[in-house]
Amino acid sequence: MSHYSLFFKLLNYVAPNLGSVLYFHLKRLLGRDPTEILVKEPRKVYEVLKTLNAGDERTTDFFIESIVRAIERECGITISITEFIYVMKSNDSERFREILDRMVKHMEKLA
Amino acid sequence: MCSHTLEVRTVDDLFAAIPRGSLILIKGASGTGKTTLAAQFIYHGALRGEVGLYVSTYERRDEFLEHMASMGMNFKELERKNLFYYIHVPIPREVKCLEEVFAAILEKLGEYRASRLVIDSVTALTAGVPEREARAALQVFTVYGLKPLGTTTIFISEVPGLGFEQYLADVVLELSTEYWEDRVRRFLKVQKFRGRVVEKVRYEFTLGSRGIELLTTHAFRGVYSGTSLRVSTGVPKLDEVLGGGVYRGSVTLLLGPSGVGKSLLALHFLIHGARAGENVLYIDFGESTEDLWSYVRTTYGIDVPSIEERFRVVAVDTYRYTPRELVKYLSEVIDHTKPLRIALDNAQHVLITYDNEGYSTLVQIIKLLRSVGATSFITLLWDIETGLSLPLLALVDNVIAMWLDFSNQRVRRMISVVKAKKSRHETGAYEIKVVDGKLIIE
Repeated sequence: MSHYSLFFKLLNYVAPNLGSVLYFHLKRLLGRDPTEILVKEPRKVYEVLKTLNAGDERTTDFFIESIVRAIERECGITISITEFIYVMKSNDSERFREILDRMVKHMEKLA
Repeated sequence: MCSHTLEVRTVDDLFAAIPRGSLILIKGASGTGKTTLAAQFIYHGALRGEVGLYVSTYERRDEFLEHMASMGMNFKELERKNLFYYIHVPIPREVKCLEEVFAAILEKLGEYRASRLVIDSVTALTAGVPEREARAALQVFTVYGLKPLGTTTIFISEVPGLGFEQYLADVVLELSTEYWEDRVRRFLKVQKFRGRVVEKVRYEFTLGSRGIELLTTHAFRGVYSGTSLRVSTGVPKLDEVLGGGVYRGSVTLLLGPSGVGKSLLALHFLIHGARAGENVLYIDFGESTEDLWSYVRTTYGIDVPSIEERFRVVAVDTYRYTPRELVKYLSEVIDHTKPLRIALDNAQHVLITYDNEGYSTLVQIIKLLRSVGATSFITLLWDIETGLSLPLLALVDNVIAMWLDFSNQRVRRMISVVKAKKSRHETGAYEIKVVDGKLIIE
């Protein structure tokens, strides 16, 4: 599952430090390897992001949207933002993993 | 917006007023006291059990510890108790290195359970990377890194700095220096305080063996503090004219030209108290201590040692102090001696020395005298023939005018009570004489 850690590295391209900061808080608040949680329990990751955004859902969704758009731009792929957020919130780990795999595949090319 | 106003007397008060989890920016030129102020923030927090982390790009740990020990802050002891951690970091040359530094800081905050953080300086830390990326990294670190942790953070910034950090900060404190005569005056300005109405924004401060100390002003207190006790001036007839002496805790202004007997009357007032067993304090802005004792000895024929223990004399050279330093110094002297009576002689030196700040300094001194509750006399060289429209008169409780009468080919010292608040005083003019060391009013 180590190649999913590329996701956090890519976030640093979105904004310097962003991946490292999110990784730090996910680890702190969930107590486990954030990469593993990201793939298995996306809803938990969403909740942590919400906490980081002072509990505001709209801000959190916008925050995720910004990240996804940046990944789209960096990797040259198209992702449905609505679906991405919905899958995260509904904890659909299978579908979320499919999206992540597609992202990571492009990210690996970049790396 | 919170309607509370910001009223602080110490640096500790200032930091206590800042909500937990805030980002504070301390900015200023080199040598203005930024590091000391930030160190005080960590130190006072640690004394209350809040763990602090200090990240520096300048001083090494041992230099910092030694530097702060000279300011009365024992960080070594706090380290021993795991209440303080110091990290020295090199300046990152790439944004990736900067990210690593920020990530490491977050890790350390968690590891040490630190709730207070200082980065000294954020300008230096981000100096090696392009400004655009430095700003973005700083924003992410602050908003998504520190804020969710609830860490109260100080960013130290050189002037002019990135500019962007001011936007991020909840509180912006600007330190600056100005020169007065050959002395440095230091100022702390509260430039921004999110969610708070800040009425007073600029504080003068000293930087010394106790770190940064604000030279705050005294709140004005009402007349007499409600007491109905009367105090004798030591001159029976003057007591009578005043309607029974002056009220305890009141402030009396003695106005008159040179040689009329203002100092004599003020000394009379103090000696009367000292002889009755009261602690008294004589503050002279004009003469030296030696001059005063010989004056007391020859004028009153007083055995000085018999009252010396209770009679404290302080000669003040106003040019050695900035206006606020003078008020602070007087405050410390009064606090130390705890007098029941105070005479402030030659107050015109305050007006002359401080020029356009002279009047406000004298007002501060009057506020100070009121706040301590001692009964006070202030002598001021003033030609009453020029009138009594001095605004200072409104601030004091009693005004006694003295003048020289040159009629009938002789000089007579004259006195009259112009104002005696809450008293039925007499308004006549009386002649003053000194007979056998006693001041007599006829």
